[in-house]
Amino acid sequence: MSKYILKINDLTKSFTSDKDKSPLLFDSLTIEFPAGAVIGLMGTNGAGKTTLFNIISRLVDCDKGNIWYDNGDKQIDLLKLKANVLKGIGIGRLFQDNHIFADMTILDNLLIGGEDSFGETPFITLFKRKKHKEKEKIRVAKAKMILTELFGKDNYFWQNRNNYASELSYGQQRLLGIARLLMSDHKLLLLDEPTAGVHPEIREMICEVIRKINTSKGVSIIIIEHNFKVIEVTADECCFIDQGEIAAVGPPEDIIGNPIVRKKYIGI
Amino acid sequence: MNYFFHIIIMINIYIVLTVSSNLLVGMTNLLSLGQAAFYGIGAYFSVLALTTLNLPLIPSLIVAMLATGVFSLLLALTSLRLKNDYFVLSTLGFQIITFSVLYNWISVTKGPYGIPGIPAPKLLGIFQVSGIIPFLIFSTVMSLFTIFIFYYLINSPFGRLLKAMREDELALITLGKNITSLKIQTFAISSSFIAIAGFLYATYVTYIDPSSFNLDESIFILSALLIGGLGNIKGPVVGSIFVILLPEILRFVGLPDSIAANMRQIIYGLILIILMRFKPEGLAGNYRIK
Amino acid sequence: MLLIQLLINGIIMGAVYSLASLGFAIVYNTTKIFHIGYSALYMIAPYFFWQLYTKLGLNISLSIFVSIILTMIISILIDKTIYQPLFIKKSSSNVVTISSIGVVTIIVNVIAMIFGNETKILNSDIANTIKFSGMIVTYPQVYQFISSIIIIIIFFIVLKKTNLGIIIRAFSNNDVLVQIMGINILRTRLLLFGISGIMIAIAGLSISYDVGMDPYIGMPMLLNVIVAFIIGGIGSFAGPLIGGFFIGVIQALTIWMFSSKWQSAITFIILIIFLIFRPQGFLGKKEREV
Ligand SMILES: Nc1ncnc2c1ncn2[C@@H]1O[C@H](COP(=O)(O)OP(=O)(O)OP(=O)(O)O)[C@@H](O)[C@H]1O
Ligand SMILES: [Mg+2]
Repeated sequence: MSKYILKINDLTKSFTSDKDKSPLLFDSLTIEFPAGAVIGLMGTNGAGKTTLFNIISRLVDCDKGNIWYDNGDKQIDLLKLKANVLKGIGIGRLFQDNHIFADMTILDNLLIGGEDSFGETPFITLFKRKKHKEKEKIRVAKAKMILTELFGKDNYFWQNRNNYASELSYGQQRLLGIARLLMSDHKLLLLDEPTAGVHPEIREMICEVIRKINTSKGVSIIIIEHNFKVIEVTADECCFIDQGEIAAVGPPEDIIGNPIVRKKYIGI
Repeated sequence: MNYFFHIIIMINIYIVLTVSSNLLVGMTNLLSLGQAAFYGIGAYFSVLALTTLNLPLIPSLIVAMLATGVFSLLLALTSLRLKNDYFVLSTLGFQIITFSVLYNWISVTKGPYGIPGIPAPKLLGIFQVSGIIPFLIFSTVMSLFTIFIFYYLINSPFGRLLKAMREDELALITLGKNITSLKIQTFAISSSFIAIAGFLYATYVTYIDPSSFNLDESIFILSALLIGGLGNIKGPVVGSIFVILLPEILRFVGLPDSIAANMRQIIYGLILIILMRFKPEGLAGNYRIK
Repeated sequence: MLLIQLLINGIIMGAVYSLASLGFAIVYNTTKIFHIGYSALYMIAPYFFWQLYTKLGLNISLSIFVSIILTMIISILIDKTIYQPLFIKKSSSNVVTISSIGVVTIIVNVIAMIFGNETKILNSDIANTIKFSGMIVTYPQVYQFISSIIIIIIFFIVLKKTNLGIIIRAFSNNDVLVQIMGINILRTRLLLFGISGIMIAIAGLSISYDVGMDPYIGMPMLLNVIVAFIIGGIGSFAGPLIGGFFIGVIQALTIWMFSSKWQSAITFIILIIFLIFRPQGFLGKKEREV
């Protein structure tokens, strides 16, 4: 019995209610993601990778199927849950387009990702001001720690923590998104092209971070990538989606060497 | 002097209205045309508590706030799934229905005849809040209280969530926050504080009828808020002062009464249009409505 | 018997609602503008007529013609000066809606300032009536029905048979396509606002000829128009017809079962029921996910 973190079973999805007209994006997709591993998810543009993430994170409904998630003591069908409870069971998501709160400060962006939600009940801070101050201090300290861990001492983000996130560049916003995810602990991270649009140096750093989260905390990670290098460095296993179907599964070297994949990607 | 005090009392009432509405419109980006309905529900329940139930000031105020909060849930539950224009429309519907009930359910609300002779509320069993000076104090205390509460809310982690929600609901959901419950909370808080304004108005004027709480009033409250600006406390306060003082200024410059009322509305309309085009965050706000 | 009479009235009113919401649909389906300024056009047309016919003594057909043209021009001007700059700036829908509220406020109060608040009667003769098997239909009602139906038919012929119709349909499906077709969006919009202005002017004239007008008749009419439009189904042009007659008949039944004073409340309760259970209306397509 192989242990999995996520088991997608017979998943079917089309984008219009008119099933005859539009082809199914996924037709009985079945796939298992092993626990504790970094899995690369590849596929051409429009293959359905982001949609698969959207279905897993319950932002998009599917027509049929189950998605079993291993929550330690029991298996949960994610499709029975609401999107906002997924974080509670340890699932985190990085979007392909930066979903950063642009009109908030860098620090506030991080604080919102925090584990502890004290103070988010209205009025409570009025009555427990001391506790609130302490909790806030802890959150800020955590944010500082994560930024230092990721980007070193005296990093740009911490120094400009009171600037608006909208002033950050696209690549910096991606990094902020990753840092925001790290503000709380997860069991499964869904990363949608974490290195798209960032500088090669930073890309290497992100790869490192991904490996580190995986090895030191045992977090399972599914990472969508178009970049062969990133997959090679980070992924334990790789999975190639083509037109809503799994075209190839295996170790990254095999997939990257796979003629179908090469044809789709480089045209040879 | 009394005239001057009267102006301040009216400004206080509008500060309560706009500062509370800001939580909904400014912090949550939910444009509501139903604010006067909450104002009216608050006023009518205040009267009910003061007369029929014969309660003193603080319990009456609490009754009015709770009742209005409950009514706001009615609107919240029906409208929260709706976006943009549809949402505005549902609040408009709520406004029309509420007004229609206040106007037509004569056996309970006295309809267009209104309810005269609202008694002065009793505070702590000794004071009677009646007369202009006590009212000046009472309304100022209430508006400062409202400002204080909302200042705290906006600057608490709860306020941080609201800011995040008005920017990107999707991201907030994946961060594990419950959008629906957040919006319901905003609705309930915002409208129950509007009830304070209803209480102030009813006990100050000692007479209410539905025409004070119609769609025009909703638009007026919204204009006050938008002119002042969204997203902070300063905006609504500036807006309230502006809309209450403007007619007085017009009178001061000697505009005949017959056209002053219309002129004032025309100016509000113009300001709204100009602000929306060039400065959507209003005179003193820090948030541009989306 | 009374019921049938009421239903006849409801159907006649329904025809006017249909016409008016068709004009609203032409704007909304193509530009997504929640055109609250539309209500002002409904009111301003009969005021033009009153000025031309009663005051200046022009002949009746010329007065009708000129007031329709003037209303059309105002409609176009609203788009040109208020909405288009916001469109170019890519302002959000709420900003446009608020500006639209500003427009109404200005026009209504300008009219009130010039003509006064009191009701004006356009036709002081006792209306001639047609009687058949106990039912009564007045001549003004006949005008309302016939003019509405004729305009609606003309519009659908234009929509199906002409280039303009193709453009309107393309426009209401997808902005991008229109740009690709090389159509000047801004200029086409003016045309659409013109058509919409003509429609609401005719609705306004035919109703006011019957019951008179004051500066505030626009908003109640607009509310009915919006409800008819929404429950008919956004995006389609047949929707407003279904919605219009539906509302007309429902209001007739409201009079039959309760009383006319509950009309607006019932109308909006129906709207809210639709918003909850069938937000796409009778004919609209379901919005796609996310
Ligand atoms: N909301 C939607 N409505 C209709 N079709 C959609 C929707 N979202 C995605 N699609 C379609 O589903 C297909 C898969 O899209 P998806 O975003 O999942 O691709 P992807 O694999 O993430 O591509 P990329 O590598 O470019 O990010 C595409 O053909 C897209 O057009
Ligand atoms: Mg994608």
